[in-house]
Amino acid sequence: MTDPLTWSIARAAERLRRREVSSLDLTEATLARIDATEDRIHAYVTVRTEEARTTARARDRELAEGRWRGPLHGIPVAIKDLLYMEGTPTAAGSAALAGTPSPSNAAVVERLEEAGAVIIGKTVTHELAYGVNIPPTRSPWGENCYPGGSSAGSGAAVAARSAFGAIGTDTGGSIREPSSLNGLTGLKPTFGRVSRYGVVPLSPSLDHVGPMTRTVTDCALMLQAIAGYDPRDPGSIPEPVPAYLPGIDWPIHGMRLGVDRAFAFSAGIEPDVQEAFRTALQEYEAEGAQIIDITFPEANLMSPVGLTILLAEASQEHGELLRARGDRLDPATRVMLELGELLPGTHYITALRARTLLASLMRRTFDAHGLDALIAPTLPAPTVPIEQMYAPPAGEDPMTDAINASFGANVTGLPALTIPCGFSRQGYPIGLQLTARPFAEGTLFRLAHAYERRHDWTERPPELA
Amino acid sequence: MAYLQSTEGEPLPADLIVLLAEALGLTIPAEDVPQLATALRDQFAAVHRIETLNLDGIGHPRPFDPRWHD
Repeated sequence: MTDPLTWSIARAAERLRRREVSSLDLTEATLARIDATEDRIHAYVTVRTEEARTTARARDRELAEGRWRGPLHGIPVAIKDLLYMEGTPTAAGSAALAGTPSPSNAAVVERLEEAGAVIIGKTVTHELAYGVNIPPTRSPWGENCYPGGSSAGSGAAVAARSAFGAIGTDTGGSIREPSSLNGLTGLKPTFGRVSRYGVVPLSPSLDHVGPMTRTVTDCALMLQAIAGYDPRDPGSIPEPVPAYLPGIDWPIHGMRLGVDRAFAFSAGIEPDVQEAFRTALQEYEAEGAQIIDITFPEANLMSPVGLTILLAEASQEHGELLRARGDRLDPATRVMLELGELLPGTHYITALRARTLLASLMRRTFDAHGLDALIAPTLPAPTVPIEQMYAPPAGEDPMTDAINASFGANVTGLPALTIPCGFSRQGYPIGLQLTARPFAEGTLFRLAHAYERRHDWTERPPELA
Repeated sequence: MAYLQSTEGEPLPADLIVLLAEALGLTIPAEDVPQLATALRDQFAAVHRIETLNLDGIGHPRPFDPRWHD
């Protein structure tokens, strides 16, 4: 038998269902991998060793009795330490919240458990998911590489094979950035698709919860388990959830992908990324997709609009924490919360109105060109040396451009997915981002799957795995 | 700081930052003030960029509903 940790969720699920392997086998293998890698990558804040074993045994008993809950039955997965889970503290990456008990289960935790998943542990996040401090997590692709964030631990764990899949959150790119840097598929679903109930908020009108996996099919399987209306989340939208797997391997002939070449091939995008992206466009054409040139000159306003909303909402959410325990916050996070306090209310309203306009301009772009999706490099660079994060050259933070590239999907609420599209000359993963119409996650999976199956990149583990 | 695009110009006066914060009930550590003075300048510049959009006819996106709900 091959090493089960090299299996995708879909493959492990098949073996489990046929009882060729047990959930306890998968759980023990995952726990052993955590033991072997954690001192280098620091992906986890909590490992639920005994609870995971107990759950795995229960899942195995169910299988023995003929009960199969679905493709996540018995699969070890991780959740970001922003999600409440009863019996497990939720610190949201902050010393100011260390040891805080979870008051309930997050909706996503409930759904994962109903689907039969074994929640193996909670992963490292940037403080409050703001993404401005430097957490201890390191990339499995290189110990000196920034693993991305704020879902840093989720990305590192899935890449290192110390979880089969993980849950992240995304307020300005926090699922897609670490997914791209770790060579994974990561989905920020449509706003309202996945409940945020029981998730420590950062910016309630920008926050999203979504899956991070090694393959597109796994991403679809995880979304299937966690998607759906939840009245406990005021942002949840009662849109029916389709079956994502049927049709995932349909051909993409005639589908229309919009590309803004002024952005994709701009000076800010590193040459290796441009080269990988150019090749990906050719491969999409070879699959029969049409590449349509578009321009979206307002794209450079997505980040200022998103940031203004984020600053105001985050400071409103965490103002009490700032006042009561500001001295225990990381200085970088504290400054952001202070900054949000000092913004005039008129700026927030202006940003909300601009957001409405940008969403409407985006719709017009999709409609005018008959687009199924937009395609772009996920990040401008394949990696960032960790020392540059501590001491940015000339005062510029290397992740600023990355946030500019990803914020648009949060501002518009559109679903956006990153998939690997090759490697840099130094061997670091590169990602491409697809953005679709509202609730068209199925379109994203179909487009991503058509590209993914041309390559064996999902089989290629990082050095530290 | 990852989110903010650097702009040119002088940071806002430090004493203004401290006074504003005090009025809001915030005690800002001295070490945060220089960074905050620069960040607030950059954020105001970001909003000026947003204001280049034509927002005529774009209303407040959160309608107020005066009905009483159970």
